Amino acid sequence: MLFNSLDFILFLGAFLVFWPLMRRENNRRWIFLVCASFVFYGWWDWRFLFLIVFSGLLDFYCGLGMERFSRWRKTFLILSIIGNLGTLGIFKYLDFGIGNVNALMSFFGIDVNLPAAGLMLPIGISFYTFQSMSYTIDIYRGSLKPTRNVAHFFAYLAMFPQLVAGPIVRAKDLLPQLMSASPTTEKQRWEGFRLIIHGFFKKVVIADNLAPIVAMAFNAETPAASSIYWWCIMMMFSFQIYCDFSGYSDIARGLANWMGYEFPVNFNHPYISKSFQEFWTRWHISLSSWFRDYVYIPLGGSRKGKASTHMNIWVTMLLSGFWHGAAWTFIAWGALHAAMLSLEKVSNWPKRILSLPGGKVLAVLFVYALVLIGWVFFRAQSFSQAGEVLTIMFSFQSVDGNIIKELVSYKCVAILLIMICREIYCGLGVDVTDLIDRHTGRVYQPALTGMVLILCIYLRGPGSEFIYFQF
Amino acid sequence: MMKPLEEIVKPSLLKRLLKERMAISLFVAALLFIQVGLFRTDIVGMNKHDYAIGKMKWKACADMVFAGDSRVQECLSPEAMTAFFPDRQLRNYAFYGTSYHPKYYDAIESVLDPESKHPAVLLGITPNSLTPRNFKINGLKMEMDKYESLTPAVKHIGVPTSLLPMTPSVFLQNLVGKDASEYYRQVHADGWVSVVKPIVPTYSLDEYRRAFTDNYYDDDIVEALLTRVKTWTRKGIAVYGFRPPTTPAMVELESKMSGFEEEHFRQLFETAGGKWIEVDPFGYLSYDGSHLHRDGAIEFSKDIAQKITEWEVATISGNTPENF
Repeated sequence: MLFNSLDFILFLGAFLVFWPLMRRENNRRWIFLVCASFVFYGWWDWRFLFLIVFSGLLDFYCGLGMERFSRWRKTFLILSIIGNLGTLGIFKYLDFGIGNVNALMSFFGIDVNLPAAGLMLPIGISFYTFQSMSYTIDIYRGSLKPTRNVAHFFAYLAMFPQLVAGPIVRAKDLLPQLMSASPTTEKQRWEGFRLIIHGFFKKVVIADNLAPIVAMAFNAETPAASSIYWWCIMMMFSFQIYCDFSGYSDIARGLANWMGYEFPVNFNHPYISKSFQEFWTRWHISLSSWFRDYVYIPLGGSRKGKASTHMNIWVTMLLSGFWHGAAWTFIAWGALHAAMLSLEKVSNWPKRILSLPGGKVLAVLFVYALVLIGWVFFRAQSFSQAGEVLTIMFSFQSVDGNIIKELVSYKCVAILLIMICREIYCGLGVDVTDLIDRHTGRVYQPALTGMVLILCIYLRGPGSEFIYFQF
Repeated sequence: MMKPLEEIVKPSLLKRLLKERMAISLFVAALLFIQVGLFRTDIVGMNKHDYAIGKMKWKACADMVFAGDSRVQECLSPEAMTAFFPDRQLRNYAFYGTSYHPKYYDAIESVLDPESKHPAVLLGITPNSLTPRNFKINGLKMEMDKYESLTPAVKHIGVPTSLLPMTPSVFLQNLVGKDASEYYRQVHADGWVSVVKPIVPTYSLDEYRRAFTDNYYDDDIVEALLTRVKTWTRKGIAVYGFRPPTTPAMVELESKMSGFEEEHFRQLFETAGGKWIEVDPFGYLSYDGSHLHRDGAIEFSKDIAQKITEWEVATISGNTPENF
C-alpha cells in the first residue's frame, strides 16, 4: 500500500478509528498493530508476508535462545545472520550473482549460461531484514533484553509506518515504547500532522514533479550533449531522491506520532554538509548509523591504525552501496563515497578549506558537486550511461543553448531553485519552518500547513512509487 | 462534596476544536479547497461544469445552431465562423453520444431565437447518430439527467470541487508547459470543444467497430429526422446537413458496418427541404481517426461557413447552386 494512495487513506482512517480502543491493553494493542501492518504489507502481495514471518520468528527465537542458552549465544547469532542475509541474498542478489558468474565464465571461455531465477523483489526486504538483525545483535551484545511475547516483537518488526522504507528503527528504541500507549497529546497530534503534510509535499509536489524530467533525460537514447543540462538534471535528481525518501520518513514519523510513538530523524539537510563524514550524519541517518554500529565499529572502526580504518571505511561503504541495489553501479556509488571519506581522512581537506575566507560555502559546494557525481552512478542504468553522462558533465564547452532554453521552459528549474534556497537558509542556520513557528501565532501555523495540504492536492506531480521501495 | 464548577462544565466542542491545531489546519484546507475548486479553470478556458450547465440553459439565443454528436461538438467552432456571420449568434449545441431524438429536435429549436432574421440549423450527420443504440442512450438526456439528479450540495460544491478533473495537468500547463500543450481538451462558452492530442489515426476504430456491432442505420430515426427537417423548413428555418469529415478508414468502417449510404441519405434530406453541404471528407486533421483535432476543426469551420455564405448569396440572387 502506498502512502500516496486512496487505499492507504481509507486504511489509515479505519486504523485510527480502532486504535484508541485497541491500544489500552498490551496484547490487544500488539495484535492489532501486527494485523494492521500485515494488511498494509499484504495489500501489495500477501505471499511475501511469509518472509517477514520467517525472518521475525527466526530472530524472535534466536533472541530467546541467546538468553536461555548463553553458551550458544554465538551460534544463535550466526543462525540469525545467516537466515536474514540468506533470505536477502536469495531474493535480492541471486540474479546479480548468476549474471556475474555467467559473465566471469564467459570471460574464461566457459559457456555455462545459468538461467536467471527471476524472483520478485519483496518490497522493503532490506529494511525489515536489517531491523530484525539489529534485534538479535543487540541481544548478543547484552544491550537489549529479548521480549517474550511474539506479538510484541512483531509489532516492532512489522509496524506499518516504517515497514517498507524505514527509517530503520532499532529494537532497543521501539520495543520499550511499545510497552505502553497513552492517549496522544494535542502536541503529538499536531506534530504528526505537520510531519505528514510536509512529507507529502516533499513527495508529491517536489519529487514527483522533478521525476519526469529526470526520467526523460536518462531514458533518452542518446544523452543530450550539454554540460549545464546534465548538471541541472543531476541537481534535480539530488532533490528528487532527497525529497522522495525524506518525505516518506517524515510521513512515517508523523504516523508514529499519531500512535504516540517516536521514530528517529532520518534526514537533516544533507546538502549543506561541509564534508563527506558530515554528509553521512545527515543522509539516511538510520541506515548510516546501522552500518556504523553493526559493521564499521565491529570491524575495528578507527581503533586499529590508519590502514585498517581505511579498509573498514571501504568495506562499510561498499556494503552500503550493495544494500541499495544489486548492480555494480550502486557498488561504484558506495566506492566513490568510500574514496571521498578516505581522502578526507588522509588530507583533512575540509578543515583546510574551512579555514579559508568563504571556506564554508566552498566546502558545501565541493561536497555537493561530488555527491552529484555519486548520484550519476546511483541513477544511471549502466556504467556506459554513467560514463557518457559524466563525460558530458565535464566537457564544459558543449553548452547547447537550445537545450537549456528547453530545460528552463519546463520550469522545474523553479522548484530546484526554491529547494536550493531552502537549503541555503538552513546552511545559514535559518530553518524556515522554525522561523515561521517562532514568529506566528497559534492560528497562522495551522493555516500555513492547511495551505501546504492544498498545494499537495493541486500541484502534485504524476504519481509514482517511492524510490526507496526498491531497496 | 460538590465539585467546583470549572470541573463540571466541560469546554464546548468548538472550544476544544479551536485548541486542536490539526482541526484548524484541516478547516483552512477545506475552505481553500472549496475556493480553489470553485474558481479553477479546466486547464485553459472555462470550467467544464459551467460549460455543461450553461449549454443546457441556452434558450432563444442563437441565429444558427449546430447539432449532432461528439464529432460535431469537436469539429465546429462558432468563434472561427464569426467572421462570416458577424451579426449573428452561433452556438454549437452538439453533445457526446447524442442521437437524433424528438426531444433533441425540440431542444435545438428552443435554442433558436424566434426573432432571428436568419434562423438556421446545421446538422452534422454521422451514421452513429442514426442508430437505435444511440437513440436509446440519448446523449442530451444523459447530460441533463446527470446534473438534474444531483443534490444542490453536490451540484454547487461537490462537482466544481471534485478531485476527478484535478489532474496534474493544471500544474503541467502552468509550470511545465510543454507536456500539457500536447494534450488537452478545452471547452468553450460557445459550445465547441477543442482537442489537442497526439495524432493516432486508428485510435477510435475499435470503439466504433464495437458501437456498430448489431447496431445499424435505422429508417425510423431517419424518417423522424426528415419529418422535422420538413417542419423546420416550413417554418422558415434553413436546415443544412453535412457529414463531419474524418478518415478513410472510418468512412469505410461506418459504411460497411452501419449500412449508411451518404448519397441515398442526401437525396432524402434534400427532398425534405434540407441543403446538403459537400465537404472534403478526408481533408482535415483528425487526432483519433474519428474526431477533428483543434487545428483541423478551425479550418473546417471556416470552410463550412464559406459554403453557407456562398449558398445564401446565391439564394438571394436566385442562382441556387446545383452542387453545394
